[in-house]
Amino acid sequence: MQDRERIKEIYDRQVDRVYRTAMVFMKNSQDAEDIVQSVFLTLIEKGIQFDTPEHEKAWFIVTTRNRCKDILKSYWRKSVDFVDEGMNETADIVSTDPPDSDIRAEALDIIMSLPEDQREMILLHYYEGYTVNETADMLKLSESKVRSQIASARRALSKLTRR
Amino acid sequence: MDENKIIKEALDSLIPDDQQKDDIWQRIEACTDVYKLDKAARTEVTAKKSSKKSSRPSGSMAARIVAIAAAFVLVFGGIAWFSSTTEELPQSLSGYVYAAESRATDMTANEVLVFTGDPAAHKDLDVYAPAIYYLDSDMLIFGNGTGLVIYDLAESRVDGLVDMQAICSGYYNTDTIRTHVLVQDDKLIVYNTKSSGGKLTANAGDDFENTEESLEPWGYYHVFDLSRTGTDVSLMECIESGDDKDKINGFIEAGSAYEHEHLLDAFEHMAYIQSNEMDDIVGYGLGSYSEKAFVSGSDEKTLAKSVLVCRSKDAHAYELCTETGKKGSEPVFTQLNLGITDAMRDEVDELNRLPEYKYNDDDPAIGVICEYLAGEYSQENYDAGKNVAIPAPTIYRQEQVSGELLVFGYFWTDTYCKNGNTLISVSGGAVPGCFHLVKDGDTYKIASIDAAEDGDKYEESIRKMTEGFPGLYEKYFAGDGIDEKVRKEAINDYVLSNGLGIDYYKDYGWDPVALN
Repeated sequence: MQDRERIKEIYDRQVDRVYRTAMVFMKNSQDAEDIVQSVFLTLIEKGIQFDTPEHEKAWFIVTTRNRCKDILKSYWRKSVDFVDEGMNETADIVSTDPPDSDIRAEALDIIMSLPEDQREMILLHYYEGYTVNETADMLKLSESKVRSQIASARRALSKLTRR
Repeated sequence: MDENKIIKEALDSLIPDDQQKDDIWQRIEACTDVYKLDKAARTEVTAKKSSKKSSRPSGSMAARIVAIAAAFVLVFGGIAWFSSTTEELPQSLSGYVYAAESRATDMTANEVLVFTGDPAAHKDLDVYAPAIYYLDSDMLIFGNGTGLVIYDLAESRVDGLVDMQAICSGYYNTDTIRTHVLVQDDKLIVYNTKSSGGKLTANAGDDFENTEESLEPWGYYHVFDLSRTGTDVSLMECIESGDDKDKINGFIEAGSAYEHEHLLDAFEHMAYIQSNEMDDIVGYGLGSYSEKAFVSGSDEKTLAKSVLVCRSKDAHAYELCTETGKKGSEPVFTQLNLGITDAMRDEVDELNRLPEYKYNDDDPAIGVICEYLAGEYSQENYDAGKNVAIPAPTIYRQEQVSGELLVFGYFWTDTYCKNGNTLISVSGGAVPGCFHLVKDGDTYKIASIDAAEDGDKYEESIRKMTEGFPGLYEKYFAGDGIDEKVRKEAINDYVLSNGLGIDYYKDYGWDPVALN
């Protein structure tokens, strides 16, 4: 039972992160759930062992991101309508939030309306706390590109901080 | 307010609720349970497949194998999630997955031929005609997820067939796992790959490869000797198979080069495909052409691009359509005579006939609804036993009100056809709504149905339907309607109760789902 318990512990620890990352890319809960399942099955299939908590965190973020990109690449042939449907889902999530979280809801709205690469930067840099250097390393991008995408995302979000 | 704090709080809300977490975990466990079971099933299955089959294995046989396998696991594997006694997880589960597929029901040669070569039988499996994998002046090899046909162009006859399901290589129109065919030195090689994103190094965070899709070996490869084809319509024997990853990686490398050299998008690269004449050929019925054109010839003069074409007006035959590189040249059509007769079609129809759906669980209210839905969808789609409608309702709540039992839910029904060991979804539909039932002896009968309206009236109709039942309205918008777990259970129940040799169900464009 050791293995099952180990995986369950990792699942409990990482499921929110994987789901959140998937939602940022896919914008709908059905795909996000499928991706969570797929990422954990990859973990089991490949027998991945983590050296450090940072290694674990980075593996889940990058594996989830890659899986999302794979799916998005093949979306055109599967379900364009569904993507459109899914677009509205984050709006639904926002609209059901209590009134005292208006700013948070608006922020989520704005984040989700950003282009995919800027959403990704918001997640990695602002939320997960990776530096520009680390983000560039993870995504195999130049530091200047990361800086520019972060700056664009920050401009879009700036109206929130001017309240 | 601090920008970082706002962003953090906003993204904090993007988490699954407890129910979602439990559901996903159960799905993960279910997958790993299948792997575990099938590892144990391997011995039994190998024994079964090595004996010459005189008749199609029955569902009870399949059930017996699974039962024996389960006992095997309990006795020898313990009840641990994985049979490993160390803390290490298995490095790869591909062997287990292959074993899962070893339960495949072998098809007869006629079934493989009809499902692969008859456009009418093929229409539920794909929108395109079968792919061409090899073509020279003497030989044409084409196929799909059911089989491969080796066709002698000079003699106009089928020289050999490969049952792709029997070798666990029927992955066409799938999501991540794909079957590839490579012809190399008189050898026909079939192998599978699984696509994944960028690979990670051991030091995640330090060094990530880019995110381009990569293909990894998956399952087993099989090799067939093309010099040993016969002159009758029969299934070819595999001369070599294995799961050696290095070997499969070699095939992947050679196969990628082969595909790069020989396969092109037909619509983009064949002028004739985009012509009005082709529109007439394909029409709006059964007509189709191969998605990829096969490129043969070594220079500009001999270069030719070919696809299989089915004319709408001739629903039972494919033609080989070849367009040369010469300017202004018309395509040449070659009639293929696969020798498929009406008697063979009848035989295959009989083997793949599906019994009517019956509800077998113990909730009479749900039973009445399911049989009603199956009846409704069958009226539209039940094609003389070729298709069956299987409901998979997601029930939100049952309420007793003024002598009526109200059953609220998302009532999904799929229609399937049988293709060897797989139920292929050919259509589906949903009724989000509420059934009003009244008692009828020990059971119920349907008094009326409130169905949600379409378009912008949808939300309002749900609101009206759920008025007076707090928390119910939200349920219609909380999930995605169809519950794949319910669907799988419903299909499993149908398969087991009718003793069918079905191991998978499949939606177009998605990987097949293994039944328990």
